[in-house]
Amino acid sequence: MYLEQVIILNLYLREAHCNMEKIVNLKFDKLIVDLTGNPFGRDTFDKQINKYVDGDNEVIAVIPDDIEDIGSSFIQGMYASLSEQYGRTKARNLLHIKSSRKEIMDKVQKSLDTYGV
Amino acid sequence: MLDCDKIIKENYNKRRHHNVKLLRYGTVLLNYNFKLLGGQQLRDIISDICYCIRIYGNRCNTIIISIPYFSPCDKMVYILLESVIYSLIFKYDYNVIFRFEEYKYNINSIGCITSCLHKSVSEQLELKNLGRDYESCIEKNHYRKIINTYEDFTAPSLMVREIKTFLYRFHAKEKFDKQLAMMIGELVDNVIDHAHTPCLVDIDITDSIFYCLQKQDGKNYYSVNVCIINLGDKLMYDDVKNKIKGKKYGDAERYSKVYDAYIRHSNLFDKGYGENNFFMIASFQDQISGRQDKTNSGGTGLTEMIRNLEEFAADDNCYVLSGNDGIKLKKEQLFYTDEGWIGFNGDNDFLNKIPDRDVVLKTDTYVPGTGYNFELIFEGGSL
Repeated sequence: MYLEQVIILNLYLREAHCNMEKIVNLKFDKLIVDLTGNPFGRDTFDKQINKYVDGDNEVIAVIPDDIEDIGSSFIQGMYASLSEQYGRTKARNLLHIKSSRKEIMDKVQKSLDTYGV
Repeated sequence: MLDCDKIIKENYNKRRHHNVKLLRYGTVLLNYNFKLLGGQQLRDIISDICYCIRIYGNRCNTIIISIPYFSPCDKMVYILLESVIYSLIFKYDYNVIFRFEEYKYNINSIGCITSCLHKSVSEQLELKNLGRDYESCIEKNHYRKIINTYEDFTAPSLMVREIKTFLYRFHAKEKFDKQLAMMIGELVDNVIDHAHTPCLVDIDITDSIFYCLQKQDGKNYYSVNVCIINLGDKLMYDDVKNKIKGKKYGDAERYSKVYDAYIRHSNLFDKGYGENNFFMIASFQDQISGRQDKTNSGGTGLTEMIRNLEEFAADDNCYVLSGNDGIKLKKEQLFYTDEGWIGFNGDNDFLNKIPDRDVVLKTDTYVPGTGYNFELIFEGGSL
């Protein structure tokens, strides 16, 4: 009985660990208020997000409030490495882009829905 | 500064009778009497310049380019001429004098008034002293910038901010300015990411309401003209062409479909639509890229942005050129199928059908790299 409980607890903890989300608050130069460019998206992923990606846990990348607009190339650049490594579907599950601005969230959603990653 | 070596060399026309004579004190006078400066005329000028460099070398120190009736057909033409002239001044170390007696513009070339070529004549300034304006200029109705630092990933983003500030004063409606700025940022990223060479961006907006003579409908029009040019070694479609023709895509099904389309299209290749046109259109397809990582920069979102901008306009003339080939970007054709293909034809069928004839462009002037030209015309008060 005791062994069963230990196993269940272990499984529960493992599942809980797997469902842990990592929130990354992205930081950009103060002069930048628009995010555009595939290489810039890739660079942002490599420098600020990649270290938190382990293939199991989701990462939430939070766009700062002072960013006014985001281009589809930047979004595609953010997902490029993940997409190449894990495939498009899993890449979308592993990385989520969030922003307090509705127009940015709409753009991200539209870009991902229409063009994928 | 844009590197014009290639545009000068590639536009040398061996068959042309070059009436280029070395006068006293090492001066060469190039005089042109054409009524419209278009692609053919631009090639003639560049060919004469190339002849002058090849034949006279250091014996020539001053080149006078005289076009009495200066009437560029659109923005791309006078910017390419301006770029070649500045290359002659700063790279080849020539003293260049540009002259015209009468300037005739249309709604798409009115921005030439703010160019260094025009200023050098109207304000009687030396072109060399206007070099800073050629590189970077933000005036009331004119924005010019050359991005030289293509290794800086943030450059397109910073440019978007600058352009938004520039456009703010025009109080464009329905977020037109934001969309235009972002589209330019995306295009600049696209161009420098593929070519890794400097990129020139030039925007002009007609000041007051402009009576459009061509339309003859009594209405007034504004125009927003945008040019984005890089003159690198690589043509827009080079990488995709090498990848598809060389079958360097492994088992990738999507590339295999493009190869099959190439075979189908090639049966219909002729003088008006050739291999380069096909690969230019192929490079617009979603998830088709010449790069190793298979990811498009800008991607299909870029095409949608262009279409959205054109939707704002009452009339438009947008195209992309590379080498001697080009594609007209017509809003009614800038849609992708659910599978991510774009056909540039009535059925929007890329895999089986060739593009409409009026979409495919052939140019007399060879443009190394890539050049985008956007002419968006708005009815007065609708911008």
